[in-house]
Amino acid sequence: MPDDAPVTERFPDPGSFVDFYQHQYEATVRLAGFLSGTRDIAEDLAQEAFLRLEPRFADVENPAAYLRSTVVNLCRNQHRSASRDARRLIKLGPPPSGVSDRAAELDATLRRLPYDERAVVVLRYWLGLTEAEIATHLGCRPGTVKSRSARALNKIRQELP
Amino acid sequence: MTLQHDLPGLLDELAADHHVGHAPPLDARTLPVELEPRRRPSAPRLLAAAACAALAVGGLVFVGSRDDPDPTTGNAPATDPSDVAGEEAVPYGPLDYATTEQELPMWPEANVSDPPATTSAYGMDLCDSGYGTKILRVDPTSGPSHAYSGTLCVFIDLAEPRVDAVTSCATSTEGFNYARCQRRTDNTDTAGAGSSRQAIADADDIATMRSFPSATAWDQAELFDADVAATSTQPSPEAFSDGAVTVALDAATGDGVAATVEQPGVCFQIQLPGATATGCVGRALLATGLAYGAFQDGDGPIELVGIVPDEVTAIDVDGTTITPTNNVWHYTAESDRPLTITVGSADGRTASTA
Repeated sequence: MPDDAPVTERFPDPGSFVDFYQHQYEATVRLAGFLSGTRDIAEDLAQEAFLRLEPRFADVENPAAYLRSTVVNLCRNQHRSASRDARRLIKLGPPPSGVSDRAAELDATLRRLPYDERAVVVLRYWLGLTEAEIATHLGCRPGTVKSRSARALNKIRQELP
Repeated sequence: MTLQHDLPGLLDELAADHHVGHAPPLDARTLPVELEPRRRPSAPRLLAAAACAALAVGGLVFVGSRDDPDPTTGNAPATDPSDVAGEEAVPYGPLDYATTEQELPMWPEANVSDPPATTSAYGMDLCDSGYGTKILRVDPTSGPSHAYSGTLCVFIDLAEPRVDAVTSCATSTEGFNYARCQRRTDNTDTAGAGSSRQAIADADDIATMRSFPSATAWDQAELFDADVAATSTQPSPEAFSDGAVTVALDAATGDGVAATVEQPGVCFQIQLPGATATGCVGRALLATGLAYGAFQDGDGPIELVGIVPDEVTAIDVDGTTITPTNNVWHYTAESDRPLTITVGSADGRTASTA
């Protein structure tokens, strides 16, 4: 699947859990990589998200949205845990290779953003979610999404050439 | 070219650089998959209906009778996972989590532990901002229950741990309503994992939840500046004490807090009968003027504690006008009458709970 596919194609409507798992795996790992700020644990976080979804898969209205929310929350917990333990994995993760300077600078800037601001940027501009959808995932109001987005974009503007 | 226009392409470039292998096979080492066909969300569950209906009894919160030691009867949720058809218990511990994410409002339960453990604390996590009233309660097999309602995201350490208790949490309005209910069975993890499960509220349950008098609407207007002067009273951060409750406030700063609370935020510690409640509140909820919690230990009175920004100069609860002290107000509700909270500023701006 092309990486520039819209969110509905990245997270298509599922059939069986096996199909869903196979279709969602790649995008889910990448989402976890963005949100956690470190690719080293992205696959573990994605696996954990699938593990939590699986028992509820038959019941949830929108498994893809449930999976996204689970990833958002797991990555937030990872962020908090890293902060508490002063391990700062987010800032110590390896930089990307083989990307443009501007993309590398964006990557570094994203890692410095507070978690919720980073999540807003990724959910809005990578997954193409609406402010209302992002608000649901983050547990905040659409107005808060708007303000977090504005703050994040201001910071990114200051860093990107 | 605007930044917003460039971002999708740059993020795609970064995503493409993140090389992800094929999905590992689903086996015993990865996911315990049962190839169950998808079905629509299950029918409303009697358990949720009973729990929700029992909770809303005129006032803010309802606490189970201390004479009812059987948590499978009366107003307490069932303790045996097999009691809830179709529900699958998920082990966690020593913090047991249940969430209200996605299908809302929900009535998740953090179930009892196996073997039985003492519930020493409980609370809401990840519920920043004022999206409806959160409701939690701990129903032990013996001794008094403890209940909390409000918009503050709190973690409550109990003065008297409750043995083998069931913790339940819910939110009272639809829409952008989110919280994670958690329970600490002990501090050492020696009791083993507990479990959690969820039940979805039906239309009647939702209506019952809506009847909670003090729900703060998810789109409550942010009328006030969020500045809280009392956070600058260091090195003595005690902001309020009236003999019944003591409240300390501090600015929500530092690595562990600042990134997770919308700034300027406030962290609080509330000492009250039977428990100590701690947490942090962000700018958005402070700006509504309606950041508050309602605590009840056993069948005692409901203690309402609120944190208001500097611009709020008066609070009206049940016809009683309260002047905040160092950004904190406290009201003891002796009756089960529905309560409405109204806050106001000197220039006439007012906000009320639903």
